[in-house]
Amino acid sequence: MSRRCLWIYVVLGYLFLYLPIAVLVVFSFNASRFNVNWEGFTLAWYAKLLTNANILAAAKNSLIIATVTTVLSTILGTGLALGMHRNSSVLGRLTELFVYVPVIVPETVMGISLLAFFVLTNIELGVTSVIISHVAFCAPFVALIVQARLEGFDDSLVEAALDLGATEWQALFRVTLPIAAPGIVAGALLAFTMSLDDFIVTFFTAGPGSTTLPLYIFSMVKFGVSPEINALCTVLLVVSATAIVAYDKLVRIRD
Amino acid sequence: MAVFPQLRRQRSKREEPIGEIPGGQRHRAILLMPGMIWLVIFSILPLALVVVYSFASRGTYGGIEFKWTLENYARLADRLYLAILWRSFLFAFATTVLCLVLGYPMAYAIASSPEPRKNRLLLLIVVPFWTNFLIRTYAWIIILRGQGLINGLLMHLGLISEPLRMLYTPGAVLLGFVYNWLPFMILPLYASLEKIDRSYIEAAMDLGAQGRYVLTKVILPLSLPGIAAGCVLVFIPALAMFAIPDLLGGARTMLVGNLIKNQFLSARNWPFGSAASVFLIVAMLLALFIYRHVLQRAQGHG
Amino acid sequence: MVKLESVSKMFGDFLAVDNLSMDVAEGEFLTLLGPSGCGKTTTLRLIAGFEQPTSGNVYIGNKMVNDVPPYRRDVNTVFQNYALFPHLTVYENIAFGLRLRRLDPSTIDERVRWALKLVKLDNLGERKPRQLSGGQQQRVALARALVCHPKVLLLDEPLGALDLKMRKAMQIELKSLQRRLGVTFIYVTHDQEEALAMSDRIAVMNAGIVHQLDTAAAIYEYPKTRFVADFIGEANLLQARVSEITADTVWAEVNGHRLPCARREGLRPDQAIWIMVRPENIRVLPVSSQEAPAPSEKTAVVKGVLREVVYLGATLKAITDINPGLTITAARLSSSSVVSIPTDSEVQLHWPSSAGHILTE
Repeated sequence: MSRRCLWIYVVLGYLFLYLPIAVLVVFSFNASRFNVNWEGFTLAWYAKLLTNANILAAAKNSLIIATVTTVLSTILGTGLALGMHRNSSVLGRLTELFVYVPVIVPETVMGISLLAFFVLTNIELGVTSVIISHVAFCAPFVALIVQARLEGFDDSLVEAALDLGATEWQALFRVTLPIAAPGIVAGALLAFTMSLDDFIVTFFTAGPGSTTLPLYIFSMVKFGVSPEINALCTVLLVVSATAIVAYDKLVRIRD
Repeated sequence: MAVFPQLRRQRSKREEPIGEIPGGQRHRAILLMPGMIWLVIFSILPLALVVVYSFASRGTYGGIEFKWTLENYARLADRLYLAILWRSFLFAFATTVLCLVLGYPMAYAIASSPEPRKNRLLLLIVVPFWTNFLIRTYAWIIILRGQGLINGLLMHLGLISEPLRMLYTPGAVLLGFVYNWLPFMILPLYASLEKIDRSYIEAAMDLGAQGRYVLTKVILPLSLPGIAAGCVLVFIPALAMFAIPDLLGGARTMLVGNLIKNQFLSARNWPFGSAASVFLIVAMLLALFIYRHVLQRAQGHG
Repeated sequence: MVKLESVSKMFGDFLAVDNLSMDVAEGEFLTLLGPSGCGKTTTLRLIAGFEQPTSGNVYIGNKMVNDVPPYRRDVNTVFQNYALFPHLTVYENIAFGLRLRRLDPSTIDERVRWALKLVKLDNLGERKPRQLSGGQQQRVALARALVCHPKVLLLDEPLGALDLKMRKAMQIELKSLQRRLGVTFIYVTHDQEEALAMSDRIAVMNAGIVHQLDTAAAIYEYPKTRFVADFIGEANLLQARVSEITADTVWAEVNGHRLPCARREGLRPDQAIWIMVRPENIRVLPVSSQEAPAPSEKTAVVKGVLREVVYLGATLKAITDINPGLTITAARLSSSSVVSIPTDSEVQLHWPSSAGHILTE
């Protein structure tokens, strides 16, 4: 394949990735309710979003769940990473195995297993059960990211801290955690995004009062096409694209 | 655990072996305990529960009866369900192959771009990677449906008089799958292609190798770890996906993910749904096993 | 100040330190010298508290510290790779230990400035470690340890990462610093020159065992084992047998040559021994030379063929083959007459019998 063919191909590839999204965004500004024809520019659908109590409730649920999930999974995941780091004991290896389980088990299976578990243990399906489930798959991702950051960590730094009079806990808070901080921040951002974004596990573990944005979008989309969904999707697209670009900039500045 | 060997820990290099810092082991146990307890209760136990349920029987009102049986697995071998399993495999497999074929040239082009452009191209792959798949699936509904963009365009041009049926077909599901997972394939491919030392390619050229030869004998084998990782990242979730077939497919695109979902939510036959889930887990382990095998061979090469 | 009492350390099946005992005096500069994997770093880590002995006891200042964690020991360490905290400035690195001791801010500031001055880095307090050169980082590590006023400073190959010139300069500086502060130094290195240049006493280690613990001169001139003789400087080691013991000479037989050696107690006739002769004690003369002394109780003489003369700058090495199957190396100043002897010609080697040092292990 010559250079030029390759680049034509790549441009087509990016068009494939972005055209559907572009269509969605364009039609969110279309005055027509029936999408196909362009009947003029409007922001009406965005205005409607702001008055839709269901959407606002779902957004609120999503944010609450994502925030609590982020805090919990960052703490638990960082603990897991620190505990696994160069830990060749049985417990250390078992932890590593368990951390990979939620990463590789298909989300559908994870969702139904948690559903079965909550029903068996009489835990009511709602915001709490969703948070529990989200932490169960977000904490391992945080752990893996922090662990990757610790991979290049020089263990003699901890020894130096102990040598200078720090207890193990003081060494943890004054040396290890500050050095692992970029990894922890990256892990927290990932947890927040994954929780906000999750549909499948949430689908099985949410209750009547805990509809999240992805669940709401799913039910709307199942019901049919409407410019309001376009508007909602566009808002979410802008949010996630901004977050990614900001994160990318942040990471590059740190490097 | 060697599922992801590239993540395996490395011992720091020292001339003499080093023991644990006194108290370090206890210290670590304390650190990982909260996370471990959470994982055991909310990830390992539920999965174990599913395995147990898969051998139980369905009660009269959709409950669980702990009468042990293999019937749930036997039922998976019914023609009806076998067809679903086979179809799921075909969809996942076709998705993986299509993503690989479509993604490889893109990953290669990105990896061989000069620095500032490379990052921008990569970012453009990451953005869809991080947008909700429901949104991306919904975009295709707008395009494919009866009064959708394509049909509207074709009718407007007078090429067709009746809308074509594109939505709610197997083809739509496959399209949705490929669209959804293409970035998941491109990213690991890019990562492994980017790592290939330019000097290998130059060395091959220097030894008189032609373009095609360099591609098949140098670049392709060296990017095998990325190919394997990308395939796993696409194949496993594609096998279990139910939402995209729900939105883009019709009755003929019932996949094992939909089967499981239905058994748990509408049919309320949890033991049978559990058996199907165990089947998925086994398939996943099999895929990982093959992945490891490929990776080990690839590392043996390079 | 530091005492090890039959200390052993096992890592799984691997015996890193084998029944080691030593006593380090207050204010002493003691070096643990040995090849890679000889147990010197493990010994240091046992004193620092990063390892616990499998058996035996470690004492610091008369207190048994086997179960005392590193942070409660009155010792500080300069690490091989410096282990400077990358997220802290030079100033904060040095203040680290003081802050943990909860000293008041003005005392901390005063002591950090003292330490910065001590290692001549007064102006670099606000830099991050990665903005410093290797030599500067080394000084920060030193200041960070010394600012805590430890009773004992442990140094693990602290100069290993520096280039030769910098290393030589730092050797002198470290030694004078140690003398000035009067702190006990325990220094680990595999570089014998470094050990000889700085130490009051050297412990030569191999395979977890201390072969000899003595002053630099004693170790060089009177090595106790073949390992020490060979590891420190260059040595001709000749396998021999005691043939006769007289009032002040031991006659040894080496492949048919009878050589007088320095007197040593505890030998018996026919005992298997080794003779060590340092190359610089051996003179090389043409076989016809009139200068050559006759063989006697005071002088060992052997004849051989000059195989090679290697020029090394200030000195040169003359390698002589001696029948049957012996090679002896002599080191002479480059200005010596050896240069005028053609290779492959017959020569005679001689050295005072006092330079022939007998080894039994």
